[in-house]
Amino acid sequence: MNKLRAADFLAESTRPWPKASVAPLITSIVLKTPEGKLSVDVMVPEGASPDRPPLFALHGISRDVGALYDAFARPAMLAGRILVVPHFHQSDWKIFQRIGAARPDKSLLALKQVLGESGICTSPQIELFGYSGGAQLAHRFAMLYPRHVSRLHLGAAGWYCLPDTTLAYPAGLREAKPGAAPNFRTAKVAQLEQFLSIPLRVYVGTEDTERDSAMRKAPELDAVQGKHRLARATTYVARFAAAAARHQITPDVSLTPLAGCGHDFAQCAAKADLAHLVLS
Amino acid sequence: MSPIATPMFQAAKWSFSTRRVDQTKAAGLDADLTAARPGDLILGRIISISQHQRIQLPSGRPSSLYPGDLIVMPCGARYAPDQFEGLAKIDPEGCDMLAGGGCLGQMLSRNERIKPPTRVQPLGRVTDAGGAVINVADYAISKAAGIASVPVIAVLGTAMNSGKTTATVALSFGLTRAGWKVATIKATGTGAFGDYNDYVDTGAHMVADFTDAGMVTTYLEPLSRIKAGIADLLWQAEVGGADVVVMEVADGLFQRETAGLVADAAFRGGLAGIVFACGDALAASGGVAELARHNLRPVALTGIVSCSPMATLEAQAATGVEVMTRGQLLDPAEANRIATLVGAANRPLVMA
Repeated sequence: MNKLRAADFLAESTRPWPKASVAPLITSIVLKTPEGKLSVDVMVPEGASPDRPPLFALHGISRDVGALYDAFARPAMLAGRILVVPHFHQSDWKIFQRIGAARPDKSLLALKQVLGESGICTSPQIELFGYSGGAQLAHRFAMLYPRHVSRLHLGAAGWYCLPDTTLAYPAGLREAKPGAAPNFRTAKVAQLEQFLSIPLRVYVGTEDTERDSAMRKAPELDAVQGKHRLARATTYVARFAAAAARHQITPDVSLTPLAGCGHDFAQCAAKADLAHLVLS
Repeated sequence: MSPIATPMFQAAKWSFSTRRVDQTKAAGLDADLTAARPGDLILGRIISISQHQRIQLPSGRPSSLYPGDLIVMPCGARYAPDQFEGLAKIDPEGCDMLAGGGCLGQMLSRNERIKPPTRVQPLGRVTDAGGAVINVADYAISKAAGIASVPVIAVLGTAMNSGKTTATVALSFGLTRAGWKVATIKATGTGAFGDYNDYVDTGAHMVADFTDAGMVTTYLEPLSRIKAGIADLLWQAEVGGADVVVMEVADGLFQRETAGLVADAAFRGGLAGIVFACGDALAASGGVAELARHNLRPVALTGIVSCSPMATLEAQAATGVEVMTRGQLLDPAEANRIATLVGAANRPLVMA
């Protein structure tokens, strides 16, 4: 089955095949980079075009890649889309949601390069989905590398870097204080127009209103972005659209409330068909 | 023309700057060495080893030289304040190896800290079967069929060893890792594999230098020819699918050819942005001021100055231009920002 096993970083995946008449290629990649190790499940449906952007699905702080794979594998296969589910291991990635001291962006770029070199996926762009902490990483990656992202899907991020140069970084894009330590604020500012041109889909449970321990809480964040993820997602979409308008860009942005769902990816997938929404 | 046995050409060590030449076309020698023009191939025999103890081969490896070795090198001038200044002239009694990558000529002056040049007995100009002298220009890339529109980030500097190549390499790497198809080009200088190999090692989509455009060195070449060579290289980058060019311009702003290029409106107009390498804050200030005289402002300063946080602060205060370290240029996020700042980001992304 696994014709790609010639490379030693590839191994047969333990993931089950989605129910289908034609089996997809499922493989696992172990990618070791200076930034940390990634384990990656890759599903290539029969006949999938390597030139079409693959869907990268990024987990949250629960690191439940199994739930992501289970939710996305079958719809991705039916849609003929290559699915890529990286796992940021706790041992190497205490923080993967933000790009700063930790550099998950570099590992994602390296993963993209590996997929290209191995012929699995040669598309220059990816479609990027993240849930919770994964959504944090997804939108920050897209701000740094907007040319790489064909479409951005954010599910219930805890907080956002708003595309607003009047708000201090990292909640916004204004320099927090003169002489601040090097960060990627200026890179995000420089590419803001490209970022605002990316089609953006935001999803959040209508019951995702708890201020749980995993959610970042700070008076400034509460005041500007809202007190819970539902409010913060709503704020983000509005701020994104407003920022786009300021740059004379017609935003392609939507907010999809997931009826009856709290902060639980599996629930969002089962109850609101989140994976289908992303791939539709 | 006097016939010569092919084995002499086969035994000779050909220099890197002849890399585009089809060695099998070498068929004879022209004894009129005084007629040698820049780029003409010279067959010579090593008389004595001095400054250059090795020759750079087309394969990209250095080869140790010994008295009696046969070599094939182009005739060429040399501008290298830390080594030699020399002219593209061949004295039949003996000539000087002005560069290990391939440059035979007549030394005018040398840096006090280096040895005299390795001496070479010229045997003749290399000709083809028809008796025509072979010149590296005969094997140049094709001429530009149009004006390239690919964004060009020029790397300029205050002088040799100010950090231009380090910056060029780091930015090329960072951009490549960020998914850009980078063409890394050396616009001026003397043919050698050091910079060229460093460029290749970045994984750049395309690497080329003025030698590919038919010049063994750009020193004392007419500005029009240098500009035409750059146009040819940029055109190759464009048709080759590059979506950004990182182009190093050798030596300092006051060097003859570099000064000529910077003063040329058409050259300036073809640049999307400039990264300027310098050694300290004063050099940064002087360089930025000199560029401003030509209505140019670098998007970033880099080079030796960036190694010192104190010098960095001074340079930034004096110029208002950001100083970037090698580490920053290597970083795909930072390199991406540079590309965006120079307006390259609107080009469609293609697979690197």
